[in-house]
Amino acid sequence: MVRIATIFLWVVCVTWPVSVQAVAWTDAMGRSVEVAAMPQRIVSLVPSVTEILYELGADDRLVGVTRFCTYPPRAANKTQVGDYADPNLEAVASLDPDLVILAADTANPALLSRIEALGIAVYIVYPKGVRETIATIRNLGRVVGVAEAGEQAARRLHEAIERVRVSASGRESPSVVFCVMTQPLVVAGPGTLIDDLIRVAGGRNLVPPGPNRYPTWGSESLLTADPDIIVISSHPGKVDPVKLFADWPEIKAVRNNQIVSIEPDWVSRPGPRLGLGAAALAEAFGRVGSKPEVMGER
Amino acid sequence: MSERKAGSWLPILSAAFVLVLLLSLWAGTLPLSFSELFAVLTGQASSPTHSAVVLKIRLPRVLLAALVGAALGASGGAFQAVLRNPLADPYILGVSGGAALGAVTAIAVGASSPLVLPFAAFAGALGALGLVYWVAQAHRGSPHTLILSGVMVGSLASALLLFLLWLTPSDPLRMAIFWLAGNLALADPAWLPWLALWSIAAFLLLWSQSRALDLFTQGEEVAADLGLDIGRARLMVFVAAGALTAAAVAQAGLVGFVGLTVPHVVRLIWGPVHRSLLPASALTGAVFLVAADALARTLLAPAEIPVGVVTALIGAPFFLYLLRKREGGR
Repeated sequence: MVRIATIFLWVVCVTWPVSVQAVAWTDAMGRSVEVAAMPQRIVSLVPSVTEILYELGADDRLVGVTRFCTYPPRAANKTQVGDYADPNLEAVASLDPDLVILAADTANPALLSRIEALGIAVYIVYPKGVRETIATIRNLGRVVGVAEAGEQAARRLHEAIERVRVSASGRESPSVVFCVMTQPLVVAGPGTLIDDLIRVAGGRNLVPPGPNRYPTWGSESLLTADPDIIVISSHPGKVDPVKLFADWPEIKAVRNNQIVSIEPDWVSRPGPRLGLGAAALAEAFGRVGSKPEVMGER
Repeated sequence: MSERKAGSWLPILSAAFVLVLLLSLWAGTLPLSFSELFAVLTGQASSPTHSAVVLKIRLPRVLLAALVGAALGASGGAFQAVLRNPLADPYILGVSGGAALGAVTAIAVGASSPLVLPFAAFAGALGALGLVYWVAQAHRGSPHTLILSGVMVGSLASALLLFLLWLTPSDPLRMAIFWLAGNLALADPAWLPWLALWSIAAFLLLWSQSRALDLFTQGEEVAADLGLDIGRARLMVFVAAGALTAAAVAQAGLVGFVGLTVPHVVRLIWGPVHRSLLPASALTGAVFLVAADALARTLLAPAEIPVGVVTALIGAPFFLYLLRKREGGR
């Protein structure tokens, strides 16, 4: 009798979250995903999602991250399962997660079915712009069972972005080229998160639409575009932005010393820190209009 | 193959070279009329942007493309003869793997400035060549040994390279990938005179072996009967062609297709005599790469397409056409 009761209890415990408290969510790909109402073992395969989960205070239930999940710094203490495109499946499985979160644009397409085949719920995010990032934060809050925190964090980012938008409106709109890489020169075009942030911050992206959202440019394209300001976001210690373009005084931005460096994670990670990125861009754009004669001054 | 036709390569190719040179100085993201180009070239440009674009951006790049194309064309032709293998290209003896390994090592340790990178690639290429040479020397440089040791050294370098790329964080990694795909935009123009000197010296050394190359294509017994020191000649060719390739790779990364195809095209049109084949391959390689790079820069401007894509896209169909026409016409 005791034995039967034990087994019964065990069965109830094991099936409880699934049978009683599972909730179906629709993810960014339109898939319906059944997730425990309060997932207890979350693996994030997206650096920005890791940031969001910390922001929402759900990090105590985060059991696995990628080796690129570098923010907040204490995220590095979590178990790493590899990189975001091709994580180590065995490492993911051995964490026994009840929820794995992927990003549609960075994960290897085969990954989804491989993880699903392990019987693990996979929720996909696709934050391709500022608005989608805000929605992702709100949705993730609901999915991991902290809807109120998600709502607040989404509102915080929304307000930060709107503040930048308002402060930048009515100002002269400088023309911008944003370099995500400098050797070779790779620039951010329309349809990127960076393009969205440039618009929020009151700038005008000079990169035209094309088949590649991050096209490679020669120096000639940069000279022809002749931007008011060049923004660089490559990782620190690699390049001195001023030296990089010193050979091209023909470019307005070089002549007027309007070359700025921005922390790449603020503008390339669709997470809570986008507000910082937008504000930094707006501040840089503001300097273009207000002080055109700053040659030699840094 | 008539005598007149065999000698016609020089005027035709020289004219093509000048034409392609002017066209690619004219073509680019910045629209420029021919009179504006002429003004820039005669030092009477109306706008500093025009002269900067033509003289500081397009000209060094066109010259680099010409040198690299010439080096790959000539060394490809020599390798095909000395290895008696129509599939031989300048990269067959491990040069590509060695150069790539050298360059990516430099990128991985953070020494990616345009002044350091070519050195690293060059050292890697020479290291690989040296290893191949050392192995092949034991067999007087027999084509078999050369090809096999070249492929093995190349594989070893690729494996080390993949391991290194796996260790490297994503930012330098992307740069390494661009480098591996061949890129004429990254070289520092200050290298051009050195590249030119080195390439000309190596080419003259190679050219001095044209007679030996002719004999090789006849077969080794014939060559030996005619009094050729086979081992020595083979290693000379190997050193000269390897030096050409190493310098080209060091400056432009792995530009594909030119070294494989150009010598075949030249052979089909002007015949297999190396005294003319080598310089004609060099000129054709220059014309071809300069034109391909001009297309790569302009087709989707302001964006650039990798030049290797363009060389294969135009080169392969043209070569197939030529092959079909010549073989059918016999």
